Amino acid sequence: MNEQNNEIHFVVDSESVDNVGDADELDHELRYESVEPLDIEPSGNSSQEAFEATITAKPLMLIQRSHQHSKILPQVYNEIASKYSDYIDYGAVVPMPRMSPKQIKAYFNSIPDVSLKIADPESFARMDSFGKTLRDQRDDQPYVGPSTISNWDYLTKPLPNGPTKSWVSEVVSNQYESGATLILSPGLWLDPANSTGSLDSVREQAEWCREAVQDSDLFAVNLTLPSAWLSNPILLEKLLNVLLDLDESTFYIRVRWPLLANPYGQLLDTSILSGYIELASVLDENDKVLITANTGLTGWLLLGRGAHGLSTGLGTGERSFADTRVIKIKQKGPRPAPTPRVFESPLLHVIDKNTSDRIHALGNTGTCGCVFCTHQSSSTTAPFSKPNAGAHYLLETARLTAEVASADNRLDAVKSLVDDAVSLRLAVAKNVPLTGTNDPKHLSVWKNLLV
Amino acid sequence: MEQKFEKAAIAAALEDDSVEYLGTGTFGESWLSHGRAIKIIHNPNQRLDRLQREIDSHQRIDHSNVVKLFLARSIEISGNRHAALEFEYIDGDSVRSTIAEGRPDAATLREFARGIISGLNALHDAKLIHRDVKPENIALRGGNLTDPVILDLGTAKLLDMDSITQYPTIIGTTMYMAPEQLRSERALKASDLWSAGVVIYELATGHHPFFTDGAKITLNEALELLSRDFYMPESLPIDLATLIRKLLSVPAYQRGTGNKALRIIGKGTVK
Repeated sequence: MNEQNNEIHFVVDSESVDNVGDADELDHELRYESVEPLDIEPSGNSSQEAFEATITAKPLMLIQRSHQHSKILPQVYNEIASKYSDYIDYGAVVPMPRMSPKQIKAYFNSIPDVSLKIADPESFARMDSFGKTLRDQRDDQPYVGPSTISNWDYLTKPLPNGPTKSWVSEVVSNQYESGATLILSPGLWLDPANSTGSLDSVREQAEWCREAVQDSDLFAVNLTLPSAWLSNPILLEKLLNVLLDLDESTFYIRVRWPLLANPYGQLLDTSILSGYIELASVLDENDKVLITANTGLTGWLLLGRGAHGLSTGLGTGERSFADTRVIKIKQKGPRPAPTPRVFESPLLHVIDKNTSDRIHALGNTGTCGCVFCTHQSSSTTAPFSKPNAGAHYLLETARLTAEVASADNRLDAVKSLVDDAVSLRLAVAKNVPLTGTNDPKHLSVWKNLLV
Repeated sequence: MEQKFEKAAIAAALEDDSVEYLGTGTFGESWLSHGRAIKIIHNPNQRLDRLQREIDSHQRIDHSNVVKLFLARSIEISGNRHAALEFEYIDGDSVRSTIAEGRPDAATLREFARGIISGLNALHDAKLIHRDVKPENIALRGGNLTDPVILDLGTAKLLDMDSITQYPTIIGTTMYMAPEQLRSERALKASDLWSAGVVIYELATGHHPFFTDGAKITLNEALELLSRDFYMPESLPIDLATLIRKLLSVPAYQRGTGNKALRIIGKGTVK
């Protein structure tokens, strides 16, 4: 536990303070997980499967392995496979530097039926990339903890003259050795203050990555961007010019969002959202595949505008890649109890459990019958299960993705589901006002963007 | 443009007494020798090794809309070394002479556009950017507009195109350059598509969409003209008008990819 003068430090990615109970304690987050990895060899590369999974017309849902509660993910994949695999492709992502090689292999082996596996190099965490800012936003605690960083030389190796071909090759090798089936380029931070230099480096790294991947294996150009690249028209134009000019056709793009309004919230900045929409539609028009990393439901929205895939996860850190801050609380007693929260899919929003129960009591929405919710409700005395709530969210996101995928027109399908959510919000408002963190503020923003 | 090399000197350099002068371009002149078109660069001592990657890539291209490059070498003419590129000889006029002859019908123009864009796709697939697509650099196989062949790849880079984008200047080869090239930024695949758009427009209308030939303007004036709307004849079928408008978008990304352009005129690669 991170204690300074009896303070507990929590890292959060929203302005609201009432998600402290949900947040990871900084010290705990950095601790090497005690789960013993399974002693099984990786299942090997399945590049053909990965290739098929990425370029089919089906949208792609990637699940980022979370720091906590990830043991439930194999069951989530099984549920998605049995219910929605006719409509969507799905895959797994691990944050390579924040796990040990053994942990990654054990995790990938626990999901043998998931063919698309990504070991995200997260090179932006290098201290000469975005790592220092990440550390500053986390009260001087690094994004990659000391227990795992020693496994990954590419994160600490000095690059005095910028990325090199051998360094990119090392990043690629590490992914192969981890059992990845879709390789990513390093994904360094793109500095908008040096836009031309950053984009030239993207080209160079993509070229080196293409040379390093085996034979015709598919790889995705991996970009980590400050949001200015989407909100500033000049930067967006430069970015799109390069993305269309590259020979590669698959892009895995992670954008740093500003601090969110709500825990588990969505991006509300219309200039960034408009940039996302332009990015998604331009790439789609030109036969290029966009996977928006760490976007959660915002990524789902973008499926209606041409994005091919999204990534999300159990925790807030997987559902977005947003600025963080640290909340310090004097330790007078035990850690604050987490607020039980559930994903209310008809509202396209995460709300607290009590409010969810009150909405269901009105009869406007049915009770979720998924295996995770059934388990959650099977005992009135058992404590609220965060893993089950997270798994329900993932399964529902898969269902929403499948619903969009099965429609004749994806944009119309997204619009229809957003309209339904807006209507539901109005219908329940008289009896169950949705305020504070329960307020799905993003719905009105989305509705305007979908016009 | 004037012939600079003497026939006798070229005959000696190429060891071919039957050489025929074909014409002179911005950077060099072409001679017919042993059934091949030999492009000889005027400026002596141009280093071909600078272009080796482009030459290797070009030699691998086998596409009917791209001239075949057989060989790149250095030859001695009157005591000086000159770069010489041996190309397939295309027996037919260039687009420049065809523009003056009248307007093609829509079907012919569509086939021409398909040919040019398909050829550019082949170049781009080989990781090459032409940088100097213009009517003089497009030959017509058998004189047919429906069978265009892109010429002169590599010459632009060899001669350092940046040096000819200094303003003010008499607009010549820069008339077909994309805005980003005029700003001396990196040439993109989309830069070639812009140039193709200008050529297609010129064939369709008989005049340049933005510039008057021979006008003397500054770089800023040129860029301002490129950002203006241009006249589109109502008689042009919607697909061709859409194609031209797309290719002449000032932001490079709005021109899209070559495949997207082909789909607009009804023949592209399906995703």
